[in-house]
Amino acid sequence: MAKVLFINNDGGGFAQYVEIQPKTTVEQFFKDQMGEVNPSDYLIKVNREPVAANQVLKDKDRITVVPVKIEGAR
Amino acid sequence: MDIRQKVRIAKFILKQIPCEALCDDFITHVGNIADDTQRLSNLNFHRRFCIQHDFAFATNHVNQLIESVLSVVAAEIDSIRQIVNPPVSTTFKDILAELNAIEADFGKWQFDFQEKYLVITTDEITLENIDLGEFDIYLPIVADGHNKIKAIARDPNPAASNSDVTHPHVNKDIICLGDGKTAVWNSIKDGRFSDAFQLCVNILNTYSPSSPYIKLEEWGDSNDMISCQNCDEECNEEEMCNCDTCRNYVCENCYAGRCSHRNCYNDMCISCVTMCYHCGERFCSEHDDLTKCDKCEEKFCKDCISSCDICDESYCHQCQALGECKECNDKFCEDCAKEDDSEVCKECSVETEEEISDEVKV
Repeated sequence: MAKVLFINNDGGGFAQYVEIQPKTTVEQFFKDQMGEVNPSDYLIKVNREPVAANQVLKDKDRITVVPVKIEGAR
Repeated sequence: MDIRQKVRIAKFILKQIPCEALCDDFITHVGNIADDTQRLSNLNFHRRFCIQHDFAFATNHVNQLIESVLSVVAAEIDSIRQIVNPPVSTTFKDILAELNAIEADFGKWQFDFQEKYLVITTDEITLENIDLGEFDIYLPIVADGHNKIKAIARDPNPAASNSDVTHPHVNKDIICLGDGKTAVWNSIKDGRFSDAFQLCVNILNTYSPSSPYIKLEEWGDSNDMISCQNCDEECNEEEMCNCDTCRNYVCENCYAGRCSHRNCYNDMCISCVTMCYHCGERFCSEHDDLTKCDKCEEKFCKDCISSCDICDESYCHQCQALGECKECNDKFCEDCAKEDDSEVCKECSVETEEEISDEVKV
């Protein structure tokens, strides 16, 4: 099993290690971690670079998710 | 930016992160555990008392409190563990990769060694067809609780009613991060500066109609007419003023001037001003120390009203000029004057009569 670092900037922005099955794609990983949200509402990067949805994740990859819409305040 | 400069900046940033941010957090968590330990010690005292006196219900309650403190302590220990052994360890290589990512995502960037800020420039920001222009985002490299994230408009198109508001979520060049606050500061703490910048840019590109400094519907052009919040009259921005009491933006006709109190510079609207009935001096709600005349019941400033030292009644100078007693120098009203001598107050006249009767007895 491969282990990747998942940084979810939706909400608290916490980082955690996640174990994944071999040949897990970015799209599958996103769905597993984020549930039924729309991927187009997020900027997804692997190892600090934009990626295609079907890219296969490998051990020690660093996946970052940043929401596109974030409401500021006053 | 060339690689030598990047290496220099990365080394500098790496030096700042552990010593300033992480050590402060470590101390805070240790301090919290010390407070919780004290709380546990106090609860143990209560627990012993309850057991000795066979208070079963109270014992149960204290046990629950102890459990809740223990879970707080466990969370604090976890936080310390995260600091000591972070999932995202910030190394020189990571910082350098972050600087490269910033360059790839946002193009040109700068670093301010003095203020310890990373700076990028956003693309043109347009919200609901209002062009707000480009912003320079100043991101502190250390999250110490005092730092702010600045967004300075390069060619500002501020709100017509307040030139400090250059974006619905930026006031006086500070971004209000709203929902993104925790994520942005956590990114900075972890040294994930490209994430922090991306979050800030996304905040600037999002309009939250429920919580802006000024709504986009009221943004207007600085040459547009805006309506007075007191009388609804349409006026130019230059003719408007902000009331420091009610915060309403009011026209010239509804502006009542500045508070006459020494060292107070509050502007007031006609709804919030208090005015002396005689001389017209104006005071804001903070310095409204006007006194009511007991005869005409109007309000007057200190210079236009006097109080009788005998009965404490206050009279404006138009209703009654108070006399000054030639014996004790006190001010007195007509009711407190000696019956046959208007230059002596009632109290002095009584004393004089007592003295005379004493002399007669002798």
